[in-house]
Amino acid sequence: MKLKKAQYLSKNMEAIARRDRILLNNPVIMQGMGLAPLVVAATTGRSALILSVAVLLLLTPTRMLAALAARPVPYRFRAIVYCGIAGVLYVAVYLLMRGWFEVEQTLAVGMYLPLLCVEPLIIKRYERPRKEPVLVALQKGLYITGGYILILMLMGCLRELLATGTLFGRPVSGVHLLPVASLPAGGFILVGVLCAIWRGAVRAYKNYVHREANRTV
Amino acid sequence: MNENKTLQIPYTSPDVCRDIFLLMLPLLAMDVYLYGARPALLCLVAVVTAGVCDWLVGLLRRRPFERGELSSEAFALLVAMLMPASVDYYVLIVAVLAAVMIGKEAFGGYGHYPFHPAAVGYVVAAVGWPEQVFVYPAAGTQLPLGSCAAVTLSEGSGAVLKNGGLPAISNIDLWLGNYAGPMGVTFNLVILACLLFLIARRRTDLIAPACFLLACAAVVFVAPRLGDIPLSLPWQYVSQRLTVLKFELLSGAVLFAAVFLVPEPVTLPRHPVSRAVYGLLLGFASMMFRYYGTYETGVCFGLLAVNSVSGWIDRAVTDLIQRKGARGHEA
Repeated sequence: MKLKKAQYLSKNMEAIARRDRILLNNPVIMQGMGLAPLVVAATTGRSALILSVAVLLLLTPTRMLAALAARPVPYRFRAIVYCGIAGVLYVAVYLLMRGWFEVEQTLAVGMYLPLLCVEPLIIKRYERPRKEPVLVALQKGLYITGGYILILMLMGCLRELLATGTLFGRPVSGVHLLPVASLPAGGFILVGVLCAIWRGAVRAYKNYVHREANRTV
Repeated sequence: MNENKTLQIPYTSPDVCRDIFLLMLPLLAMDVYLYGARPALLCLVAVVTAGVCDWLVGLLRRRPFERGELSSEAFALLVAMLMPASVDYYVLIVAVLAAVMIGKEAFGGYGHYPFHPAAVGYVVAAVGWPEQVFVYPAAGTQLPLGSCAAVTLSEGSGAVLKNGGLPAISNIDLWLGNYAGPMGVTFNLVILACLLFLIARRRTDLIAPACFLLACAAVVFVAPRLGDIPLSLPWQYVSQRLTVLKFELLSGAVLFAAVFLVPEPVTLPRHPVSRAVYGLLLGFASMMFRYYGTYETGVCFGLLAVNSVSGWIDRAVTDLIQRKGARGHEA
């Protein structure tokens, strides 16, 4: 790594990591958000895809609309505004999902689709008293959506591969490496392992950047 | 003056783990006699897997590998003994990995786990591969070292009891372990001898296992799973109840759990009254899992469920006793 770049990264690592919601500060890996749909519902690649589409359509619009609508609202009612907006948007999202995916596939995700309306990943912003500009809501919403979809698809595909040896229903191998991966218990275990590996990689990257920044040659 | 009576444990956890590791050997010897060399190879695979896990964790945590610390190996052997002798090597390896890496190391390693690691490993295998974990070869079948696909397997006595019947096993076979079941769980006489050894070396607690067996016996006696007995009062059909009691306590890993799993020093509560409550709760939970659960061996599931509250039981009982003591002094 070039010395100048390493020094810049090392000096601003905290701010960069906080902004990077996909790799360095992923909402699932670093903050444990969005675990319920991830662990219970994202058992196959297809169900992970359904959840990803739902989050894509729900998170950023909710955050932007709530940033506008919550401005005149006192702080104590902001949670209701966020959840209400998510609920209203969910009606449209659900109709779209029913049109794009088969009914059985949508039902397979179960109650975790409507539960996205109260998922902290989507509505947690209400906790901060400072009002959010709409453009910032758009930017942060897109970043968080990207980070969550990455983990959703990774976990869904991994769990399907380990549990049934298939990927999106297509057989890949005949070996069922870990059948318990299709259950919530297996989901928790895999998320824990993924978090450990991911955080280790992030720490190794940060150490590498600091080492590169401190080299004298 | 507050009374905070807790048992001074005369042994350390490493001593118990070492003794449990050694006590698995006579059970293994019985397995080798009944099933050939395959059980020995399974146990070797389990122990090696546990050792590799310990070495790997030592590497990741930058700590030296402790050669004399046999807790992982003891848990690995406990998991192996709960499996049938026909289980795939891969299933056993995954179970041991779950026991050591998730049940023990993920919580901070030796002495810090809230759940019994062997129960964690067994449950992962049972839920993931029930078609392998709950079918057993007939006693005396010489098993091949490789795949057991060609071996005739059958359901164990637990399945017969679950269906409201009585297993066709003579008393001698029941005590000697000459019937289809998990590897180390059926040799009830050897297990009792192991218990005597642990008592003689003062390496075990008796309160929790005794209360565990008492609770199991009470549930079976009051509500036996026998089709011949209709809903009736406990003093009716006594001989049938006692017959069912014999089979329920001597199968399904109940005695094995009472001797090797229940008195695990890390997960066991400290206060004697807490241990009694823990044992009773565990017995009841285990029988409920056996009666109404999907899987016939409920003791490991019950162990996980009750381990989650064993710390709370200790605190609650200690607080209650201290408050009673304080009120007594005020009076």
